[in-house]
Amino acid sequence: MSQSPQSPSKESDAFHHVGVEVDHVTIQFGSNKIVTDVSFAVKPGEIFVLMGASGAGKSVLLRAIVGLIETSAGKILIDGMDAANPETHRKIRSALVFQSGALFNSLSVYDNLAFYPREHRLMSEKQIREKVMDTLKILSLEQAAEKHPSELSGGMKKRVAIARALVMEPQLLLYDEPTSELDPIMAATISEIIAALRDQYSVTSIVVSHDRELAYSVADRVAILHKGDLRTVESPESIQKNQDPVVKEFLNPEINLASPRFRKIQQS
Amino acid sequence: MNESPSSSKTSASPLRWIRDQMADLLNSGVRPISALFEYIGGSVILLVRSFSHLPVILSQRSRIIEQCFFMGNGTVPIVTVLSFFIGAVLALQTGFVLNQLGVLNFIGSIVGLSLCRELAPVMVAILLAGRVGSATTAELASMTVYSEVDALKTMNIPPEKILVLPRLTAAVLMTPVLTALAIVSGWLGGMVVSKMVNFLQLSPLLYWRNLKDFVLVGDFFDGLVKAEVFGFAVILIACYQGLSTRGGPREIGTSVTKSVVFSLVFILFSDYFITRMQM
Repeated sequence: MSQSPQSPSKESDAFHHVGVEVDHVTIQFGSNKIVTDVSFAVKPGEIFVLMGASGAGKSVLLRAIVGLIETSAGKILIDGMDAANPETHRKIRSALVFQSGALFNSLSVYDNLAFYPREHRLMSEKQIREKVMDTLKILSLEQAAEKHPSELSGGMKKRVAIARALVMEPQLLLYDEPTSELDPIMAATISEIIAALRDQYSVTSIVVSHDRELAYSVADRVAILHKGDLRTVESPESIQKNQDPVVKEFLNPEINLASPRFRKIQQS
Repeated sequence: MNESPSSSKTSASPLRWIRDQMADLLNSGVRPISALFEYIGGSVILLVRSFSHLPVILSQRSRIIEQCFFMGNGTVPIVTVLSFFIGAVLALQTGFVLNQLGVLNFIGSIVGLSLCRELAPVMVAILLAGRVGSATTAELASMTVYSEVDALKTMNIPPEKILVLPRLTAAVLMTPVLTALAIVSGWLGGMVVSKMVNFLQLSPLLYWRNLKDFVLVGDFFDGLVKAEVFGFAVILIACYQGLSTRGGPREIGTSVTKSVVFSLVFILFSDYFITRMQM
């Protein structure tokens, strides 16, 4: 039976910072290990950026934190509560901004944002309208309120997805590649939004991204995942000086035409 | 080219080869059976999860009405026209033989009972599978592939509550309506043909009297019950197929095809058993 989450209207709830603890987590599908014995902690109110090559297991880990995937071993705790327990996600408001946005295509932008408070009957229609329009204003999306997702550009879709997450007044906000497929200006705008949410609302944020600029500019700490293993967790300043060859290659890959990584092209 | 002895196939143990062949054979036979049980089990789990939200079904009334409109709106004209012609062709085919036997006045009962107990429920179910079931699977598969269903879960909104339960409820409400419409339309078709075709020329009064004498209220309700079972199963299959779609956009088409095929197989397979039970 569905249960409405705790109302975010209480000030004390909205400002209750939550931390996340990933404790020796392994995630595998069949015999394929995606994430192997990963442990890290995200402090309340910080922006934690998780980076790594494609297929490293970052998005899988994010989905496990939000409860969409079960871990094969280990535990994920949100504010001390097991993330695998549905009750945890009723008590802790967490929102995931999907890479594709995952907007409801049959609904307008306005209805996308109003969906969560309407379904959970958290406020009256008048209050919903105020909340939605205020949120759209924050992200400069007022003009898009009556549009459908199919009419939006990629950058607008990402902003609408963030707006939809914001309406939930989340205590934990997770982003899956928020700046992918965006031009540099829009990517910078999204990075600024992520930082502003931390500064103004003290939301704990976990960001999965390949974007080094985003990591260096907004992250409190950066973690590098490589083939399912956690290589390092450190500040953006110190990670740039990290001597681990895997970390160095990821953060500063060199284009070496003399010795290409693609052997087929070389052999042909 | 040199061939190393270890790479030669003739050196493989014959026993091992036989064992491998038998394992392949067993797998190819077992796999579809295990897939079938997985499908049935998954559908039942989806049904149970949907039913767990029954206490709050009234909160979904706007979605239920929307689904009723979707199921009824486009399906009513097709059901009416097709049933009319099914009744007409049934009267034509049976009337030809009955006329030669000198018992033309039994057209009413044959058309009446056939439509009531068999043709109308099966036809409505097939139309639902092709029109409503396919659209439902396409919509839910698209939502699954593009992470909209995952977005619902992250919002603490069970997909079964807002996507499946309204559709199942609408199927329960609309299938009997559509079936009743099909039955009456088919009877009318039979009556018109019986009157208009030159080698039949049966008066409508005789047609309806004979129909009334043989078609009981119980027959009518048996048809509605059969249709209800079919309609419910078609929508459940459509929802399960849509929500269990994995992969990319190409899988949406595959899921739609599977939904329609599995629905048709279920309808025709269960038709015999339901008919047997009703006798």
